[in-house]
Amino acid sequence: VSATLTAGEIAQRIKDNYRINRGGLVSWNDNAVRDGFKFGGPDIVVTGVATMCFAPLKAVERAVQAGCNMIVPHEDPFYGTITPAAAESTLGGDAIYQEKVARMAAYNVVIFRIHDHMHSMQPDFISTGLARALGLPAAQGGIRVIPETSLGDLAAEFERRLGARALRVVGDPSTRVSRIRLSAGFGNPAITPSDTDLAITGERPESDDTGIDAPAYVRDAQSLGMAKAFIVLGHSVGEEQGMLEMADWIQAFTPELSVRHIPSGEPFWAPE
Amino acid sequence: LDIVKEELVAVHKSSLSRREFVALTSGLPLIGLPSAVAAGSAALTADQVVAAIRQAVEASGVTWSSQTVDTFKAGNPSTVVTGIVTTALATFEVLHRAVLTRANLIVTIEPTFHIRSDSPDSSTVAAAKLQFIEDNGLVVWRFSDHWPQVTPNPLAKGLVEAMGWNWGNVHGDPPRLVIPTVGGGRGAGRIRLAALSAQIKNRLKVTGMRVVGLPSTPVTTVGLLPGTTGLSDTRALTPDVDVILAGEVRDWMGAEYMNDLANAGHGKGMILVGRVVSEEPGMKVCADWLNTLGLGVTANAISGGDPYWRPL
Repeated sequence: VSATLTAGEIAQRIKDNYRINRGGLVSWNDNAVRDGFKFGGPDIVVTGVATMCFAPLKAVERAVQAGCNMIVPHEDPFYGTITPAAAESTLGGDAIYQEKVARMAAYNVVIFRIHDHMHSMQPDFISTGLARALGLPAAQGGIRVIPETSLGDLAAEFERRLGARALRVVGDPSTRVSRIRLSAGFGNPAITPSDTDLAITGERPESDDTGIDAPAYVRDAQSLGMAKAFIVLGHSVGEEQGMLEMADWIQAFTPELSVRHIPSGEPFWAPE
Repeated sequence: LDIVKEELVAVHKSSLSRREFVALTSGLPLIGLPSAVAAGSAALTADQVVAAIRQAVEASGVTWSSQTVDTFKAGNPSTVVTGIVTTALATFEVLHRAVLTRANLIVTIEPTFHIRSDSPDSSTVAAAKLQFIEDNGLVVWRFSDHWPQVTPNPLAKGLVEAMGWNWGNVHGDPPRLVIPTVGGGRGAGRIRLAALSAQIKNRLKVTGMRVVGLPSTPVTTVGLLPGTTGLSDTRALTPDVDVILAGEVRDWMGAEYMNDLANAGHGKGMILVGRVVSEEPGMKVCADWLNTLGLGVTANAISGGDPYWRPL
């Protein structure tokens, strides 16, 4: 008979191993508001752990069916409200919020988010996981160099590798690309440097950004004959990949339970 | 600019010949109107046109904000206006086409120099664009804060008209409407989300459309959120409509919110056409509106099209 593990005990192992990952030099910061318990609490007995990028209700239910009641997402389960208190005050009157909360409580679900700390780990699994999924080499000075290919072929290969349905591309499909800056989530990879043909990220404002608007920039650069391109993966698809590495990491110090990656699922599709 | 040209040509020699670059940046017919032309009394300067726009906006009940991005971004405001081009995004291509139609005042919703500050120093591409504007005597003015405040919501009106729907059916804020049924007689019925998405994609020429929700969701009511909108806009509209037709929302807010709603069996959906695509029809409305102001010049809408495409 194995001893029971609580969510609090697993959270403590995550924090301890984060410190080990940072060479014993940096401790988990309990004041990082994005990270920590977002639903349920430390006393809940855990049956299994599922990592996922977002925590949409459908994926949480898939995890519960797979025997996992502890969800470790990278993103906020309540649409960017960040803290449980803010979720309650902002969304308290919403039918879907109430339904999600009620269903997750009925499943005895506990959610422990790892966002800021995931990005500060060595390496950042978000970055290494996405590069692995896309088949890209390690970055040298911020650039990943691949054999020159057409933007159209590369985008199609990326979509196939990711199993994505709604990836979007800016730039003529015949554009020759080789030097890539890879980001994810809401990152804004630099597109203007002359050493960059293609910038990739999860999502970005299409325009009116405080940084460079890559879609608008790429269009104008292409009008000047420059080989510039931009690919938008979707926030969920881009950051989902590294949740596999996160599951493996947690599994290594949680041998009593099954820790698995259960994808949150791309929210988008594209019409024919 | 020669330095900028040299730099561009040097950096991107492989993909851009000097001849092509020079042809693009300075080989176009120069309008050369500005101060050299002794225009008739009816000829307005860009300054005067913008003053007339502001007056008309204020007359419609909108307060002009002192903290606004609605300012001149490039060119000389004292330039005599020969024609107006409205657009959601003044790409190089849009500017080029404006020159070919002999229009010299560009009215745009989005920034011209690829950044909110509209700083032409943001890149060599931005610098080349500024030079193109100056070489061709263009004047660029942004109309982003105030135009969407005019009643009725011109961006929503543009979307409704572009879709061939009836603006008379639109009500509420954010605007919403009952859309036509499909088929006729006994076969008439509600359109499904998949079919509606395809219809919108074809009508608005969206090459990078994304949809949230179950494709089989029946749709009677559509809410409109052109441009970029936040979670509160999505939440405010959702209870009253089946589907939201939006420009851009944040993935982690509106998109995941609709994802949960749709998958929980609430029969909702969201069609994202992209920010610029969602604003283009509203700039056609803007051109029509400018043509009612008696400016003495013609306004035409020019669309740069959807920047995004999807791999096959």
